[in-house]
Amino acid sequence: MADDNEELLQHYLHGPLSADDLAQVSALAADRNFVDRLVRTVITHDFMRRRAAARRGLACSRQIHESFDSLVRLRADHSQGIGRRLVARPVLWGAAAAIVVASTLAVWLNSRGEHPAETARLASHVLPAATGIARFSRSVNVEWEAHARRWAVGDRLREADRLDLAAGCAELQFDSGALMTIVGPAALELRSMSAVELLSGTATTRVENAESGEFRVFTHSTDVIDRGTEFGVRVLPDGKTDVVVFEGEVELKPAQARGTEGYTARRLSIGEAVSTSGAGDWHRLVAVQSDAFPFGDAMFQYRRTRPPVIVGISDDRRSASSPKFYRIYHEGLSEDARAFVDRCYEWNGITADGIAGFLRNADYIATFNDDKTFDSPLISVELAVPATLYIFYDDRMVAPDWLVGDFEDTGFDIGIDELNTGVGPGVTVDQTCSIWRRRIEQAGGVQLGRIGPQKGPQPLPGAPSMRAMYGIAAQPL
Amino acid sequence: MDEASRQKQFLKLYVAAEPSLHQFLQILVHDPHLFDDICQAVALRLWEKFDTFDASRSVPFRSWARGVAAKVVQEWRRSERHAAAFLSPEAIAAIVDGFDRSLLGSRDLGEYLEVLEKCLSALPDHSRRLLEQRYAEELPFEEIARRTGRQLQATYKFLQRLVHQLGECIEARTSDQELLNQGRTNG
Repeated sequence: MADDNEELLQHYLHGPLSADDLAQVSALAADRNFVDRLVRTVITHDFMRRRAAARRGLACSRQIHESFDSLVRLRADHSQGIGRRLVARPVLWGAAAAIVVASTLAVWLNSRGEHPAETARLASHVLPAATGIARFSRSVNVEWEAHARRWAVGDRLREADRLDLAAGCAELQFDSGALMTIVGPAALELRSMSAVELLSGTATTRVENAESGEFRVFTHSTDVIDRGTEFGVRVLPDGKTDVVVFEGEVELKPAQARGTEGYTARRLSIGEAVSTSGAGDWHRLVAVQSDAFPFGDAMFQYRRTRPPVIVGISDDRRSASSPKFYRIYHEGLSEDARAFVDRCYEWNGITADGIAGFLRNADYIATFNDDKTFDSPLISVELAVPATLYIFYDDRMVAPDWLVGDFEDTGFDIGIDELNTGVGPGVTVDQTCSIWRRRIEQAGGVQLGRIGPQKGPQPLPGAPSMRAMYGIAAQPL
Repeated sequence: MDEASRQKQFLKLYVAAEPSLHQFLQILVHDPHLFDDICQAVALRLWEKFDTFDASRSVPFRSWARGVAAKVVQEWRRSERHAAAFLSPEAIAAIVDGFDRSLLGSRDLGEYLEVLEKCLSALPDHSRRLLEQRYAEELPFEEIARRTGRQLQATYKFLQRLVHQLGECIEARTSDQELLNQGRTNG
């Protein structure tokens, strides 16, 4: 389907349609395929809206039935003001008024349809003490501290309950909708269905239903307030707290500011990470290992086949203003691997054949795509062993001297899936990057340069840059 | 049938058909003020014409109701000064046919919402999260684009693809269920 037609369908989702749009839809209505897509899109959009409305409402079947009965009993004298503009014939007045109300009520009834999960959630809000506030949902190789309660999968946890993990991973499902993976050794105390205190160790949290409110993680030094996101918090033995944002945004407040008014919280966005002692100091975390903040199925970590190749990364970026981090993935390069820390883009094979075989399960670094500017940082990669170092360089840009001089073009390409709707190779690939390689005979640091300018006419100031930051990968020799 | 029973029967059918009718009118009418008025006008017309609806015939109430609604919209299109705010008569007829063909309009809302949950749970986390941000949290597209690090246009495109993908999933699962039920009946 042509892009213009796709754009019309998009307009139906964020509206309103202009007169021109309507004229275009009228012209395209002879195309049965377009009409079917349009109908499917609008109906599904409406289903999603009704689902959201139902989840927001605290539906009660008795209320609905009573309302329906009273509607059926409705008579003209109950609602003569409604629909006056529309009712033309007095003989229909009584029934018509009821029907006009019915048209409104029908929307209400349908949008508040009861949902068993919603009822359960409601019950847990009303009766937290009786039913608990979170469920111990999964665990992997857990060992408990000697004095600690040993929780089992399916257990309900209440306020003030603690988890004291000596080792392994545990997952908690909060009734507020938050999901948390805790990595031992760790100690955690539940404050409510939307707040915990992390005393030690690592916890990664994702809040699925942000309509249920903020989720807070308190540590000795910092309060982390979720704004609808996925984020990791790590409490170190020296009392410092590391906070890493994988999606969305969080707010940070030093513990010292608790109870004080007027303190402006620090916001941390996707791809940013800081370390703090709680005294209002914020230090950039330059690199985050992929294993450090496992979440969801990543808690079932498979056995590595070899020691890490990439062990560190640094750059010449000033840290204070934008505390972006690099994420290092050991043996992590595969189809749909996340390409950048500040975008949800993915690496994929250009065709159905997939990513070039020599790259599979390579160590790689998710860089930040915001660095796709002329003054992109000078990056230094730390290799633990002799290795082949790969650079994925966007074909829309001129290859810079350092790349042409030190590396060779393999002739293979790798794709970036910017919309990441597709799964697997060759699906919805938006950009092509050439794969360059360099043989590094000794372990140690390797200096990389800045990216080159865009090919062809340069974008006007303020116009979006049509290019991507390069990717970095390595395989042992 | 006495008046009270007739009214009750109508309301029962109307409440069940309302989601489909609402979706149908969403495609045809794009002025929010006109939309409310036309929804009410359609409800009134359906009640006026209810005597002509024959429940024993093979046409379901919601299909009959869409036909009536299309006529109401055509009348408004002719009488309103701003005919440009509506689709053309041919397009309206094509949309009526599109709804009749669609697998998403023949069952009760509750059944679709159940299937929708299954389709949502099959999506990758980040896709489901984006849908939640748009529909549950009602975040503006600009905010979603900012949080997910996408361009605004890419966010529109991504959401539209996701919604369409969900629609296809619901159709496929509904159609499988249909076949299963037919198999049970035939068997």
